Amino acid sequence: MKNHKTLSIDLETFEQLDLLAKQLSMPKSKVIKMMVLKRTQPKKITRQEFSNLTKKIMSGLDIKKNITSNDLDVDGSYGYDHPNPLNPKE
Amino acid sequence: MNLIDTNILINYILQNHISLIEDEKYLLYQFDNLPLESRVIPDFIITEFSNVMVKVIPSRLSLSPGETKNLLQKVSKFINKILLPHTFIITPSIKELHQASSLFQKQLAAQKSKKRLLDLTDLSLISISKTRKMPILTGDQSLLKFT
Repeated sequence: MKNHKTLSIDLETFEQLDLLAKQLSMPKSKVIKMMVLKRTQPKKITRQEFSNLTKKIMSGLDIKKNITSNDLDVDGSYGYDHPNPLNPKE
Repeated sequence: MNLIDTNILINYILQNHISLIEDEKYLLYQFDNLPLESRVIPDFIITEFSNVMVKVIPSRLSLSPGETKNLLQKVSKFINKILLPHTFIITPSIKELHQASSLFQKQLAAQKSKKRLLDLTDLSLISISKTRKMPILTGDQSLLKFT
């Protein structure tokens, strides 16, 4: 038996899809295929390669290490309200 | 599949340059162990990540103009060569944005003094998480309360 994959989309997405298919003069099925391919197939590498590539790119960055993530406010606020709360005079 | 928040990306690329607490190290461990196809990053998170790296981190780390340029070149390379090609990037639907905006209004109406407001980025992440049933990988406790 053929293994069919199902795709559920809401009405709004369907209307956008319909519009896109008309603009591209393509059947909706082909547009869906293009969208699915585009969105679900990032270039394949392993997690280790991802990590190694990141380390390679970030190597040679010589910045201070005595700062914690708390000082950076990476809990979500990021301190957009002040450029540098560690040094309010700045 | 997990939605990746901005703070994970920041800690991930700066992990060898700042001190992380145990919880944050564990979150990075979780991120590292997620299969690449399960790392779902909304487009606006990449924008926020870039904003923070350009507008916040250099002043927080007291970087010189040269160090800032070096950092931003690396961040730009990370986004272009690693993040965009090798992770699952999604875009919020109009419905999800409406839901986030509605949550923002409700939050303002119920606001208590000095309590940090979640912005539209946070609320969009919550909305996507609820709609698509994807947990959020984040170190932001105020965000986790809503999921």
